This record gives sequence, structure tokens and C-alpha cells, in this order.
Amino acid sequence: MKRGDIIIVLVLLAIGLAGIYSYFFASGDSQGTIVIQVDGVVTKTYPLYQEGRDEFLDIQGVNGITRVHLQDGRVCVVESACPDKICVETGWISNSARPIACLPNRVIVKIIDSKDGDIDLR
Amino acid sequence: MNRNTDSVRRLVIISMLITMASILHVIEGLLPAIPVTGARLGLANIITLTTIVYFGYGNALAVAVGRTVLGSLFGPGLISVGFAMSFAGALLSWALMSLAHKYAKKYFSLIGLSLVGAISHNIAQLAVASLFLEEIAIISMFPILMIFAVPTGIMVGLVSRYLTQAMDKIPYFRA
Repeated sequence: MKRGDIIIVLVLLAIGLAGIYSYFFASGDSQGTIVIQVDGVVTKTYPLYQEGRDEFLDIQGVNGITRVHLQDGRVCVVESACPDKICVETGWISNSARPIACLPNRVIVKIIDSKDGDIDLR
Repeated sequence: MNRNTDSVRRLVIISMLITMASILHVIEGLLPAIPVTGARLGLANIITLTTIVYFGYGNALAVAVGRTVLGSLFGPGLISVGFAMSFAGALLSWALMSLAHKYAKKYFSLIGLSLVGAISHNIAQLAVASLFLEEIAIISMFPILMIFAVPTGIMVGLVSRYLTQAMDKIPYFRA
């Protein structure tokens, strides 16, 4: 290993740790909105927080149905018509740091903060 | 005559490298991705990196393009998001690894070059994915992918080092 190698490794680890921190520890916004997009078009929006909510939605994607589970303050994809199930494995999200993306079915579930408009890159 | 055998030898060697890279590409597609992130090992990068240091940048470009086209024909086909992602990833990682090899060889071993390749591959793939989905927030996957890029990049660099050391012993590969 030369000096440049070690610098690259350290920079990568720093970026990664900062990213993990914002993924899992950034707090949700009480005024946030859950947005569901199909093929780049917003099809449904819901408030992030709604007392006692526990409902399933079937979203029609490009290849089939993506089943979304909404609760108070969080959302996840439970089943989707895609081969790799990355969207299902993403699990619950409760803040805007991390969207759920189902690439094969072209479905995206994300949370938008009230204060900073449409695009959020924290 | 001598020039002729040289070009035949180059053709044979490049074909072999493209074959090996395509097979690694297909094998990697069969392995499951690391959950949540879609991070992968980057096995085919072993061949691109080895070609860069052993046979030059032009030949490495031929290998990178050849293996993504061939490898995708075995898999999702050429008109697919998967092909666009691996093609963009292979091109950008070829370009940046070649630049790093040309101008910063003093500072990087094969491990550093392979890390550069892993980073640029991830950048290109995320860029293509967000283009297709029209969703910039996919870029937020980047930090997590960088964590996985460290062990996989080091592994690819080590394998490339052993591969070039083995090839040093075979007279046929010597330029």
C-alpha cells in the first residue's frame, strides 16, 4: 500500500460514516410529506405523521404492483413486482435522507421535508 | 512478418481478456447483491485494471467496452437500464483509472487504482440510475456504497497484483 492508497481509504470511510449518520440518525420533520412517484411522476402524497395510521397501498408500477405500508411517521415497501427486492430490503424510512427506490418497477417512495422544497440532498 | 505476428498476438490476448472479463461480468450478475445498497464485488474490474497496467489504455478501453456489451448480451440485453448502468460504470472507471495510472502512478499501487475504479463505477451507476428514475435523491446511496468500496476495491487490487505477478512469468504476455 502506498500513501495515496491509504488517503483514499480514509476519505472513503469518512464519507461513508457521515452518510450512515445522516441515514439513520437524522430526525424526521413533523410537517414532512410522503411522496410516491411512478416513472418520474408524482401519483400520491400523504402526510408523514397521522395518528394511528396502519394501512397498505397497492401502487401500479411499470411491471406490476408495489405494495406500500404506511404507518404514523414511517413508510416501507412490503412487496414489489421486481427481481432484486432492494426496495423491500431498504425497510422503514422516516426521514428525507433516504428514499425507497424500486428501479425495475420505476416506483419511488420518499419523504419531503416541509422546509426545503422538492429536492433534498443532506 | 514480425509486425503481423505482433498484431495477431495482440488480437489473441485482447480476445482472451475480453472473454475472461465477460465471464466475470456474468458470474457477478448471478451472485446476489449486498442487501439494501445493491453493492457488488466489481470482479470484472480485475481484468480492466490488469489490462491498463499491462497492455495500455487503448486495449483496456476495448476490454471495458467489449465485456459490458458481451456480458449484457448474456444477461439483460443491450436495451436495458442494467446495460446502461454497467456501460457507464465501465467507461468512467476505465477513464479515471487510466488518468490515475498515467499521472499519479507514484502515489497509487494497484490497490489505490482499483479503489479509484470502484468509486468512479459507483458514481457513473448512480448518475445513470437517477437519470432513468428522474430522481436525484438516489445519489444519497453514495456514502453507503463507499463503505463497501473499501474492502471490494482492496480485494480487486490484490487479485490484480497476483494476476500481473503470474503473467510476468509467462513470456507470451511480455510486450
